[in-house]
Amino acid sequence: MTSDGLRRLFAAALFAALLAAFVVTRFQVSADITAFLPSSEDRSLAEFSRAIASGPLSRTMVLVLVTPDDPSAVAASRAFEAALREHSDVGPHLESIEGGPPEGFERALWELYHPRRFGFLADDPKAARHRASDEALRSSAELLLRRLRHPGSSAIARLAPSDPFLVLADLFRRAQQAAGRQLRLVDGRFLTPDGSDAVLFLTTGASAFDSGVQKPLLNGIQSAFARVQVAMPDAKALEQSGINRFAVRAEESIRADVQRITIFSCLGLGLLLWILFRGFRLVGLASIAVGMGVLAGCALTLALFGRIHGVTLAFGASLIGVCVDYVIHFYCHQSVAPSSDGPYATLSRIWKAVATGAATTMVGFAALSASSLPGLREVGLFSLTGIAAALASTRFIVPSLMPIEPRPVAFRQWLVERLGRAYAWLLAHRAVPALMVVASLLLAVVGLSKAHWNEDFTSLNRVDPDLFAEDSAVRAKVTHLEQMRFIVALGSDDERALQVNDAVISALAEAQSSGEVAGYQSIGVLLPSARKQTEVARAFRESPAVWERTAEAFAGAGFDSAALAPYERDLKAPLAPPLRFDDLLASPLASLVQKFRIELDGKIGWLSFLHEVQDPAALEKRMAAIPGAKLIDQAKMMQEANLAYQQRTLELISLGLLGVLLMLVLRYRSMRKVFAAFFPSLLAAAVTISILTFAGLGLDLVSLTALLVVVSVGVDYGVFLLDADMTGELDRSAALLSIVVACASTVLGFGLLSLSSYPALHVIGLTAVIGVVASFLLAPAALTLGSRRPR
Amino acid sequence: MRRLLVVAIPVLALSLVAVSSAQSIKAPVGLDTLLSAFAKMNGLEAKFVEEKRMQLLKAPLRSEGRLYFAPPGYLLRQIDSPQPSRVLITPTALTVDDGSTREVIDLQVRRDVRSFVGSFVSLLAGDKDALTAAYQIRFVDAKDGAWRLDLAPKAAPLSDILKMVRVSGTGLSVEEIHVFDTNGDETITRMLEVNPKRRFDASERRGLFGIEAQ
Repeated sequence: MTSDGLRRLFAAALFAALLAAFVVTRFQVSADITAFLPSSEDRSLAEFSRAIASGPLSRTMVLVLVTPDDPSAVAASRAFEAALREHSDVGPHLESIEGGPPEGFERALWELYHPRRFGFLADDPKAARHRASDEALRSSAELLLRRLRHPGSSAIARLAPSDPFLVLADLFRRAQQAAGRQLRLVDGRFLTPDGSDAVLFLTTGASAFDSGVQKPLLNGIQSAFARVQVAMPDAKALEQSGINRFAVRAEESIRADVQRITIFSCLGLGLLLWILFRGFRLVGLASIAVGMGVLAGCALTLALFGRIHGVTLAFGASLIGVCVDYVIHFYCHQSVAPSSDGPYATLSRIWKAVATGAATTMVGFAALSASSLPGLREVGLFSLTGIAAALASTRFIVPSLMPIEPRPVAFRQWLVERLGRAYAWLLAHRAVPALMVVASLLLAVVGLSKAHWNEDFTSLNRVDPDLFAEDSAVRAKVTHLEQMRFIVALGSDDERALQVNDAVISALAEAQSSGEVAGYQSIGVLLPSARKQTEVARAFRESPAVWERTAEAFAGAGFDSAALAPYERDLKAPLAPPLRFDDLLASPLASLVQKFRIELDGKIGWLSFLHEVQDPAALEKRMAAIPGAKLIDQAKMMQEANLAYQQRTLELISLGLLGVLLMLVLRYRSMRKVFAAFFPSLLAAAVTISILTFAGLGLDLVSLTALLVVVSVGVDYGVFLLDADMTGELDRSAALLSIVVACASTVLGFGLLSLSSYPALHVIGLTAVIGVVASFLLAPAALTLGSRRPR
Repeated sequence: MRRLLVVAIPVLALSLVAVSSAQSIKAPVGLDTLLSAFAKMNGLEAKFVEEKRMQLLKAPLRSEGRLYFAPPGYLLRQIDSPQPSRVLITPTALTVDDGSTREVIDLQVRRDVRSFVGSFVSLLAGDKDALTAAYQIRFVDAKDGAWRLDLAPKAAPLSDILKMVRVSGTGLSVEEIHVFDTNGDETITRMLEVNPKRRFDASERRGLFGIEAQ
């Protein structure tokens, strides 16, 4: 090895070590499918949808302790909460944990609402003015009298002097009625409405997709429960619900698959190379190029996004199938047709082909970088960086390590001769390649005519059936609120958004009475906008002679108006400032109201959660009539946007292919050669779509992206063969050997990926295997058809 | 509302006590004799008149109705006039229905209410120890067999609302229950037309108390 080669190696090793250190210290995998959630059709709404998907709701777990009776449930709930707070993997990551209403809950309600009760007298100013009418005042007096006759009216008798309209009691009753099904409150702890199970809500500070926190936390929860069970055998089981559980399980699945694929594809590739080259040097050399590519891709992705998506990582693993081709091509040429001036000269001879192959792949993936989907942008960026790094490694590092005198291997020689003869036979019998192409075209035409989009976006994500069953059971026990449908009231600040929310809850109340929705949870009953509170209070207080008429009405019903002195005093005192969200936030009620609010880019959204939507169309119509309000149907939105984005991605990929075509035209300036280099890959992609279609699979973002890999690999094969064909017979034989080895290595990698239990990885693998095999068969066929004369 | 019910229960239970002992004659009794008589009570029906004297009202509120009791712990307090309402206590639940709203409290769930009911069950059972755990008890003998039993709650939340319950009677007969609230309000219940040997058939048990036939 020359001193220049040594310097290059040292510099490369140092650079690789730095990249590796960066990647290892920052490495974090995400399975968050929202990275593929579109965001341009209704950008604001989609961003809010994304914010909800990553907000407190997504970070909240529901934990249910199964116990035989209420006393056991209460005791176990307290012990479990204490154990969770104490656990070193749980306690520090808790944003909140609630096994019952927060301490001081009732006092806080009284202190916050009693001074402001006039603002809660009615739903709107008109209704407040009506409450101040003589007739309504008499009704209020009669109602209070009825309540006082009621057994145990002592508490009412205490409230009535300052609140003869019983505003607060009515307010809390309405809030409960709106919410529908409620948890039971037993001895200060939440219990399921049916049965005797304790319920705890655990919210983490970290994202549900932060596996670094969530994995130990989930283990910690199990450990804390085991500790409780030892002390309390009545705590029969722990049932859990939480997005973090799915995220951690998905990450484990992806990680295990990627590890398995890497190990087995390396073993398979090693065996193949041993048979062909009697050595593992090629494995080492290919590892340099692939390793540098994957490291560079990971490093840039982690630097820009902070974590790397599982799907991107899968593409990283699949880069093995693309980048390894450059080294394989080089190695095969150095083994079969080495230059007498050494490996650098051999590489220089084939460099145009290798660089063209890499450039066309980069052009294809560059199109993905223009996608508005963060996930696809990540894949595009990762691939661009990875391929560039692999190409640079092949150019500057690999040659110095390449064997100068290749070891002769009889089997390789035999294979090269057979491949040469097979190619010559194809040239002599052009009907055969023509038949292959025609059959492929027919298959493509029939298949493409039946191709369809995969409309179920969620099918790309694997949901563990056991986890799903447990999750559903827990949610059924605790709440029937819908997970994918919300109403959001948007505004530029809290007050404006609350004004929209005022209209939303009025509409929801009507929808509930019309049977469109069984119930809802909204902050609106407990926190109307400041404007509404003020208007309602003023409408009542400023009604003419309201105190005098109140006193007269109540006196008429038998009340001693002097006893209503506290009410008179507050009625005539300056109006208390309206209740604000910050007041609730600073009180023990904070954890109960936080879930309703989301903030994004300076905009505020107030959420209303729905219980059993019976007529979504009618509800959507109601919301559409309120400016700033919107029914978010995440499933529907994702489905519609997914289809739109599939179309957009297809356009981008088509644009990428056009770029590839343009590059090949510039490189070869011959339609015959462009046809030989490009057509097989395009036809292979069409054949792949057809076979997927016949297999009952629809196209989606992931399979489209995998098709880009197919086209890239196919173009590489075409270019390698074409360039070698132009150079000479020996080079063509080397190129044929290289595409055999390259195809075998790719099939090994992607074939194993297609066995993955994670649907997205399975689709990538399947698509790539079919496409690469088709490219392998069609590239020589197209080259022979494009040749002017038999050789 | 929960506090309302907490207060409702002692009144109801004491009404029951009053009725159960109304069969007795005018003879000197002690606290132990009285508790023993309560423990022997079977089904009964009685008419009552209730008067509420409240700071809020210029005149007392007057209600009339009937009490029904079936062992082991079913009590229905039904107001007929001026406005119908019902309060039903069973061993497992407390139901309040005033015609427009209905509230059910699970006594197996609500420890606070259950413990309170339990203390009056203790009274009916003649369990003096359990009773003294919840109340300060003062029994006063008066002339001609008349007596007075004062029960003062020992702890919150009951003591926040209830100052004292005074049960008075003659011999083994309870004639009046006087509830003093901490805010100065008072409720006086007088017992009339007591039938201490009332037996309920299956239909009545179901209709009045919701007891399904075994």
